[in-house]
Amino acid sequence: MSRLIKPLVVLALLAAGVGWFVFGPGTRRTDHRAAAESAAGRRLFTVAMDYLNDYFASDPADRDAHLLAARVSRRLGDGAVTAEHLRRYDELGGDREVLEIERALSRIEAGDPAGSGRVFDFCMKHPDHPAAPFALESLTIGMRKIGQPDRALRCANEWLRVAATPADRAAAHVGRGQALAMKGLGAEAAQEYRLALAENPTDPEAQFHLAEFLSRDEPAEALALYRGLDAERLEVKLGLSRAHRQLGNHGAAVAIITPLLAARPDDADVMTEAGTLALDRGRADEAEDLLRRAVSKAPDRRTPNVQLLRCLQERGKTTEADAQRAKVKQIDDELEKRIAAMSGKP
Amino acid sequence: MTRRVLIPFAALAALTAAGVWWFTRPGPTPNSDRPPVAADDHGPPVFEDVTVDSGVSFTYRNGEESDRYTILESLGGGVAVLDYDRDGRLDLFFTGGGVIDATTPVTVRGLPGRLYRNLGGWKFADVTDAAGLAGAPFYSHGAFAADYDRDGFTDLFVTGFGGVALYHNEPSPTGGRRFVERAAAAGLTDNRWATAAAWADLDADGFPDLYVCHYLDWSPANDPVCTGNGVPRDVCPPQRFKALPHRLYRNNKNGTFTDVTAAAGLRPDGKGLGVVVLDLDGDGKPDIYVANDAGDNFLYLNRGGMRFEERGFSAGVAVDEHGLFNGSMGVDAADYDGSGRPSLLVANYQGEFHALYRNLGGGRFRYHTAPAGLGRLGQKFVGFGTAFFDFDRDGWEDVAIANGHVLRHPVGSTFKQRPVLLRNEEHDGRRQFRELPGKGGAYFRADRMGRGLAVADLDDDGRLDLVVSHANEPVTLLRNVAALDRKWIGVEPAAKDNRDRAGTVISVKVGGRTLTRYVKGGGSYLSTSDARVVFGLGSADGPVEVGVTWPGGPTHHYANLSTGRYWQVAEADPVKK
Repeated sequence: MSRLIKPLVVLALLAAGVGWFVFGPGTRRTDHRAAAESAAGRRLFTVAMDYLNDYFASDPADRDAHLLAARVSRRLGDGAVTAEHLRRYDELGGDREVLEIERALSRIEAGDPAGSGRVFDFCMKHPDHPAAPFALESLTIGMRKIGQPDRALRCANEWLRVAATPADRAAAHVGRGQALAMKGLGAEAAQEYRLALAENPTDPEAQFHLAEFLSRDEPAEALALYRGLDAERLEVKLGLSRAHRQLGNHGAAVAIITPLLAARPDDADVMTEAGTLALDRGRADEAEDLLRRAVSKAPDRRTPNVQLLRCLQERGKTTEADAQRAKVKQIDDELEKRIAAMSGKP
Repeated sequence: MTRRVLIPFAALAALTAAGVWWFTRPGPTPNSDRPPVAADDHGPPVFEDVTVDSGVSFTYRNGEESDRYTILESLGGGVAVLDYDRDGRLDLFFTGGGVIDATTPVTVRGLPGRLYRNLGGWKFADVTDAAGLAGAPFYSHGAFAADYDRDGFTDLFVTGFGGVALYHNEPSPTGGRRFVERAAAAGLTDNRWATAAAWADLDADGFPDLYVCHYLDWSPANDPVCTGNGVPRDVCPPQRFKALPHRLYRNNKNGTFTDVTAAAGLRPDGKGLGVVVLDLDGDGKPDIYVANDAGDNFLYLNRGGMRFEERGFSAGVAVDEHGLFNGSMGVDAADYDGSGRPSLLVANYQGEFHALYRNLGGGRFRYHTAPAGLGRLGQKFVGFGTAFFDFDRDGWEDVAIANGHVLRHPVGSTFKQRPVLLRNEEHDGRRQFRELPGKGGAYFRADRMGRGLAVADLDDDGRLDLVVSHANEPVTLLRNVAALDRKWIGVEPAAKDNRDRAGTVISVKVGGRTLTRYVKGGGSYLSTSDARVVFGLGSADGPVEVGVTWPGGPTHHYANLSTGRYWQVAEADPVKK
């Protein structure tokens, strides 16, 4: 066996050498930036930011890296960090036009439509500009935020046309889906989420939105999707509970909603789901208490009001149920008006 | 020595591999859980398609071949199970539909239905001509059987676009029986688009009254063009049209009827497609539940004297759990949970769950679709024929639903859809329905254009069979071939002087449980099922006691009835059949 020792040592040294070459300090810096770019392309923004922070530790004056960091942090929703990286990009002599576009995008994503038309025109004129996909992504988000689904849809269409990576195309499909959902076109929105998952099967937003849509229609499929998502996310927990309830799995739903209610006793969504579950389980008195509290927290939200109406009907509280029905009708009329306004209908 | 070298080398290799993995690690991956697998459905199939050898060969035509995409073509037809010649065997009548000519404006013509006489041994003979049913006065939909004049022979009411027909069962000059159309003479002259109907003695005078659902105001003169999913034209939704008022007719006890719609307190709206009549609030009087397309469902509580109070909303049976009306078609009622009270099942449109309204007593219901496991079906189906029936004779009411889309180019679903067979099982401490795609046999595994559905024991073996009508596909006879290892008893209530039996409640005490079944008016979709009641008794042994509560009348108990046979229970003594 001692004959093996020498070749093994050589092999080990070789492996160590390869490791040094691949992961050593000489290459780590540039690889971190490339890895950040790659992660951003896959829309793994937290991962990308980690790489960039590592990168800045050794090279804090890379102008383009600051631009990348600004774009990544903007998509993580961290306005302060975005502003700081844009400031550094500016200090380091960054392109003025790109800088202005980035600042405009931050405002648009925050729901300020000022300048959005100019940015959209810029994207139409320069679809090959490296900033165009980012701009169209922000416009899609911003238009949705200010309640303009048709414009959001138009921006998402353009974004889909210029998106470079499967992850970005998936995100553009999600953007289209969210805009369609705002227009009340649920089935069409779900189709977009499915297209997003065809582009990027692990896209958590597409999974989440599709699960949310399916939790009413196809609870078995919704349950499978929710299970693939971050289980600590409140919406995911609520979705899991709802899917289990729709499937008739009361035990599983109770196991999720009970600790959630204990942790968030004043959350209207949690109380609504807990109340609906109690109603399904035949615990109308418990349901009434939860749903009344949910309605007091979210008086204009449809779901708690409808579930309270069901509860009052079941308990034979006819007069109050009639008043509650009138309230639900009022909410419905309001919703209808808003959807009509979004669809451009009179 | 070797080990001392190999271990560090292996550690280095592992470290290298870990490093490579770390830098190339994939993003989060979804859980690969599949949707819950259907309940255990091993064993031989319960239903065998015996259509081909039965002699029944008939197809309802809806006229879609003219490519006019009218909403008229979406409803389909039904089947009535009746013993028209009183030979003790159940016969079958199918409505024929019609033709929509591609003229402008469109013209609509009826096609004749078909009557098949049951010869026994799963053989049927076409007796349409001899029975006087060869004509096609209008484009037909539903068929509803009852002995409206109490002469002891079952008559037939047929609905459709352009008229209704009341076929009176009379002796034929050439022997046997024949049907003579008497709608106009009987006062049934509302020719607006009629769909579902229900016979039931609503005013307790012994004669069956008639509730008729009317649909909407489509006509050749009101035939808009609706765009579809990426296609220039598809069938218009019901929302494009105005509802037609439903009709309630009081039986005048002389072969004629009086329209009492206004005096009875009926609502003027409702695009009705399904109706079932039975006592839903436990006051002994039959109530009316109406399934409407794209509108609130109605619950008319019977206040006596042919007066009704619509209580759909307050009872919790008008809308779904989101407070929204559904596109409702088929409807049935049964005590599915052993409560002794009838709950309602409504088959709905795509994007909605089929609705189960659990009867809580006192005229109150809970939308109970999800707790009853029906949420597992999802919302891809467009349900029509709907029936509770205990196909495996375990004493619990199971469910069959015939599905099929009305749009030619549906989004998120398919034109043809599979029918579903759901078994009533105990899960999570309550009764839930689980689909058994394999157990149902080949019929339940294929996509179809299901419409009317009737339940009947066509061979009197205590195993409930199914008859299904489809749009533009042959009708299907499904013979129940479930194992014979479970006991049963059949009950045919024979009310005094041929009094109408709808509203009769029949119960059997077995194994510590009381099974409750109902003789209903209407039910399912455009169809009439076997009026007899079959109780599955599981493994229970020995004779049983049967209780029969007649509509608005007393409860009679019949003790020591042996199982494995039908009993005709009269308002006097039971008689073996």
